[in-house]
Amino acid sequence: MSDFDYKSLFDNAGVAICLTDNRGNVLLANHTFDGLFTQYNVKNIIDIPEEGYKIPIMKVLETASEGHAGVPYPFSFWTEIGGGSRRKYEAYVSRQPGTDYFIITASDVTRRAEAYDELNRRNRELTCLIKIHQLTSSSINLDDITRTTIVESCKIFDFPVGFILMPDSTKLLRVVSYYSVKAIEEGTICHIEEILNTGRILQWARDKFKTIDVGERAIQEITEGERELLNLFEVSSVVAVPMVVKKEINGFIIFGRKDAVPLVFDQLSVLETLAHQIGISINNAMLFTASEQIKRRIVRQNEGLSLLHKIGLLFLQQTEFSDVLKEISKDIFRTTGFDGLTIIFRQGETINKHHFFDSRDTKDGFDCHGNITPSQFIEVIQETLSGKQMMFFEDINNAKGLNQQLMDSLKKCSIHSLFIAPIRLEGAFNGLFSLYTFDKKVSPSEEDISIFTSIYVLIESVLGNYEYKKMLELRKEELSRLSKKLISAQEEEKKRISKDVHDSLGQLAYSLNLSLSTLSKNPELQSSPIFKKAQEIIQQMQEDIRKISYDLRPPTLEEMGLVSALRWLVEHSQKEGTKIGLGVRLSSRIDFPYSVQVQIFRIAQEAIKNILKHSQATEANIFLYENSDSFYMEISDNGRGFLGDSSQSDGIGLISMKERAESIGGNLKIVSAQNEGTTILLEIKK
Amino acid sequence: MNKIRVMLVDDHTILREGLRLLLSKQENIRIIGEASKGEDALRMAKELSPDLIIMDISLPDINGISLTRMITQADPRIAVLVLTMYNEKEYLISALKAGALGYLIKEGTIEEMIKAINTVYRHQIYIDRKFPSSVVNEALLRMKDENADESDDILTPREKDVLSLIAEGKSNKEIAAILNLSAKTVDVHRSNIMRKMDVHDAVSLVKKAYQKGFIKIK
Repeated sequence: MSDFDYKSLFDNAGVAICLTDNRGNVLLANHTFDGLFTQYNVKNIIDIPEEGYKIPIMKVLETASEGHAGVPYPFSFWTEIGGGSRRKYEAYVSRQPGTDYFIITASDVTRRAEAYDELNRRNRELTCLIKIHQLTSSSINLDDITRTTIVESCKIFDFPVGFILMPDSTKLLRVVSYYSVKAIEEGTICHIEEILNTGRILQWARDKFKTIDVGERAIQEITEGERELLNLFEVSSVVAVPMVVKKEINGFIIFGRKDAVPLVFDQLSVLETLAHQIGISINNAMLFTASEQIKRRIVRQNEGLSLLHKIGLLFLQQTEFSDVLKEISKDIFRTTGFDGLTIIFRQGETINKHHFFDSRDTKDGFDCHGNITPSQFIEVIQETLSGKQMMFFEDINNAKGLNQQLMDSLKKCSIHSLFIAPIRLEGAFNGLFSLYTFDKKVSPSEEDISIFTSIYVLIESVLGNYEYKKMLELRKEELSRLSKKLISAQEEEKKRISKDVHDSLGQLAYSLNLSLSTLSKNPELQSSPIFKKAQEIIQQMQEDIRKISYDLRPPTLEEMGLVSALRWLVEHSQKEGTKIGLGVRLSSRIDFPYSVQVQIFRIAQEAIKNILKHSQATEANIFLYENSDSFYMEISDNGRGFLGDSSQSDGIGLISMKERAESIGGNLKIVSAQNEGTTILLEIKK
Repeated sequence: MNKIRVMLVDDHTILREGLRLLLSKQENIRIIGEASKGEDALRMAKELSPDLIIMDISLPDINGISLTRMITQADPRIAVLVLTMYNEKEYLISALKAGALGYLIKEGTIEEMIKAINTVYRHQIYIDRKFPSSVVNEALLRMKDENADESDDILTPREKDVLSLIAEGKSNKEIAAILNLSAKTVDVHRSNIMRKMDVHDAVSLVKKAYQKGFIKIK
């Protein structure tokens, strides 16, 4: 009850009036009769001296409450007025319907009837106010509040017609609810709005809109300018009551009255209180609606954010593009009611299409029945969007600006609502993001649209990256494949040349050598310097052939395997000041194919070359060993090492070692620190 | 006088022809067969059972060393004289291990070859004179010892230092102080040693290190 403004109701009563609780405590009393109800607490002063005894107010109230609520129960009392004299009052009490509150009216004997009427009227008004109060405090539905309050207040005050008007976003007044005894014809409401918006009311409302003071009696009787209203509803006068909340008018209640007698002040007071009450309720309801909307928006935005987060994560985890889209589409369908998502994009000459459905399995996407190719689709959409960021068609059957061919195609697929946005790859319009429904309408909220926008922008950038990355990976794969091929082709070629040199040339040289050695028995030749020279040349030739051949193909590797070849390498790489050792711990023979062994050998050869050339090491070792998972070759030295800067060592050599390792499915690690030596570890998983 | 029945295994026709020509002038040598592939050589060795085979190492199908092993294991009476371009110790040792009695590098004179044929025919070893005697000694030593091929020491000197300190029960921190290294480096060494020894805890590591003789019990 505390926010209920009774006080102004009581202030202007012609008789003494107060409101008590059921224990006789005065809650409210009018100023005029302060002396009566507050100076003497009603709880103590009420007595009936003629009867010779005092009846406490409790007794009176008890009696009153036994009767029907709202029915005045008469009693009288005396009060001291000073100098030993007393005055008699005639009083009425009634319980407020539906409450534990009592209204007491009192007057001197001559105005007994007035007190009776006053009580009845207050009862009625209060009942209405309480009802409205109860309603407005229990409902947050704007329509309910406005409709019920206008109907109830018209009934109680016996007004044949009433409107609640509130300004819209353009500050023009709109009828939000009305009551009329007579049926209101179609168009009348608009007419009323027109009248009010061109007449004094609006002007007055605008003038007062920000400056109205609650203390000011802001009631306006309309008797002239809006005379048409009188004619429309066959009423004699119109009263406009502003709904003032926090010193601002947030609307009007306009009542049509049967008579044209000006309202008395306390009647206006009741109406004002009513309007205030309704204003507050409407305000609350609007706030609530707004807060609900905000809440919904926040929830939606949260959903959107978590969706974006999810998408981001999925992409980060390098999930397949189409799998990510499948996930996204599920969420979008669930939260927005769309049925399908299709993404078409052009990458060079290729058209990529991804579509996801949950309500129909159309397989080919939303252009399935059309005679329009995906490529044309992109063109048409580009034309349709003509630079817009996105477009939404609630109903494509009534869509303006849609290409006829496209519309026909969409109609054939039973597409109803359609959201489209461009996907720009490499700066050009290269695809589209679309969401759509089948045979049903959806209206995505602003938040939904903003989420879609974020999603397709994200997709756009990811797609750009993704496609770029994919291309890059393909190129890299291709390159690595070629490089592997090159590495193995090189070795094959070397092997072939080596065989040619070693086997053919070498054998020929040997045959020649043997023949010469036979001839050497001839004493003539024996003494011939030319013959001797020829023998020397043959020897030199054989030496050179061997050297070339060994460079091309590690000796012993093919016939005797890696360990032998490494032993040969170690023995032939000795250099003054650097001791090179070989340690092998393998449980079985290495059964890698020649093509793998040759790469391992080449890595060791390169590493040893580097050590001898750069490291200044006094000791170096090649270790071959294995454990249950892997085979290892470790080449370590105690040299000066290098700090990240591979130029100190042979940069190209390191790269080629790594390439060789990769080409045989191995992994090469190089660990080096200044003056801590260098360790090269090749690991080949078993 | 019995002629030495010789079979030639070499994939170079010119060489075979040359040898045939030169050897046929020797009264005690008769070429009874020629093969250019390992497969043919195996079959012919069985069919002809020659006294001696002159064997090349580089053959298109089976390498001459494997072929030597197969032939001498099947018929120890056949003497194999390897004749190859390779002057590498490893080939020599492998050939001897495989059962070859002679090893000639394709550089020498016909006289040396005839000498080699005669020696090997008597089931004595002949090694090309171009090999230094140290290599010949090593080869003769190692041909008998199957396991002395290479050291199975696969720890760097630094790792051995760390391992022996681990065996003494020193902590990473103590080892770091003794060796003037950072504790992190010691830790890296430790995990490298574990990987190399194929163990996963310190106890098995120390145990294995003793077994392999990396550290000695004091």
